[in-house]
Amino acid sequence: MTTKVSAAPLALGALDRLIHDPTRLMLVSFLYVVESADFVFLKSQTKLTGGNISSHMSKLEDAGYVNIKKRFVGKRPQTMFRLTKRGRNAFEKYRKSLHDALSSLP
Amino acid sequence: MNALDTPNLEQIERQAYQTIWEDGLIDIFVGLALVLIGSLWLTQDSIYGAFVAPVLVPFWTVARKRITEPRRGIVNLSEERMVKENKKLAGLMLFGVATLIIGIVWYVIGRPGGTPPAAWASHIVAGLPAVLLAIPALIVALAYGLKRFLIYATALLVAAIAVVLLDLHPGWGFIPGGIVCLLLGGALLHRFIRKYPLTD
Repeated sequence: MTTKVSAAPLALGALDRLIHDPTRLMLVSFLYVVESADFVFLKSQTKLTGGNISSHMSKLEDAGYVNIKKRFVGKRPQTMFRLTKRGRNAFEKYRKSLHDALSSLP
Repeated sequence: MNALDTPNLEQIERQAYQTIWEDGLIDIFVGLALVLIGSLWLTQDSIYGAFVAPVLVPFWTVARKRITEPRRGIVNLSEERMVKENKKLAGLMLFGVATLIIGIVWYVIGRPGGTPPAAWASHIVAGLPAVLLAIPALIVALAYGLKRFLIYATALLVAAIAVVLLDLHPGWGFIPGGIVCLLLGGALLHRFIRKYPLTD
């Protein structure tokens, strides 16, 4: 006797956990649809705290998903974030995997 | 959007794009330009109005740097969106150039010693400048999804009709529309400043 096993749980397990975190997913989604955005913009649009954004962005930067550039404009610090090619590919792969996994659920 | 919402990329992109226009500065500067052009035309000569827009543009840029960017932050739109925006801008600029040419021709014809236009034409033509500005306002409303520009277009059209019916100076065609722009822009700026307070 054979048991039909859904592929969904396996596919869900293979999701990129770095992107799967809800906060990081939101940040990556914002960066995916634009060329680049600064810290103030992401803070104003996501309503996340500065510390929260910084810690998640550091993780994304360590994985090579996000490029961070810091500079001063007058006396104000400005931090620009941009999704790298690797980050874009990872996000596209994540979306496809999530879509496939959810579609295969009974 | 909060952390629990399912990300809808189109919605996020639209949200990012619309933040560009929510500060009300464009409305304020367009309103200021209309009031100044209209007033200059009423008091002096219409030709001075041509310098209003180039003079105001640097102030708009400075206002965005001083008011908008520290509060809302900076976003550079995607290449795909920029291509779309540049096409719209090119269309508007083309219309602007055509309007300018019509304006110059009208100015030359209307000058003392120039070819006098037919009486009925000169009567109706007084409302033409406001109509020529109502059209780009309508285009902006449709192309950029800024519904408030429909109000400005309507204000300009109503003013144009009033100019023709009441036999007013063409300069009056600009001023009511400009005041509407200024008032709505001021309200938007007020809301923007409250929505995005300055934080360190």
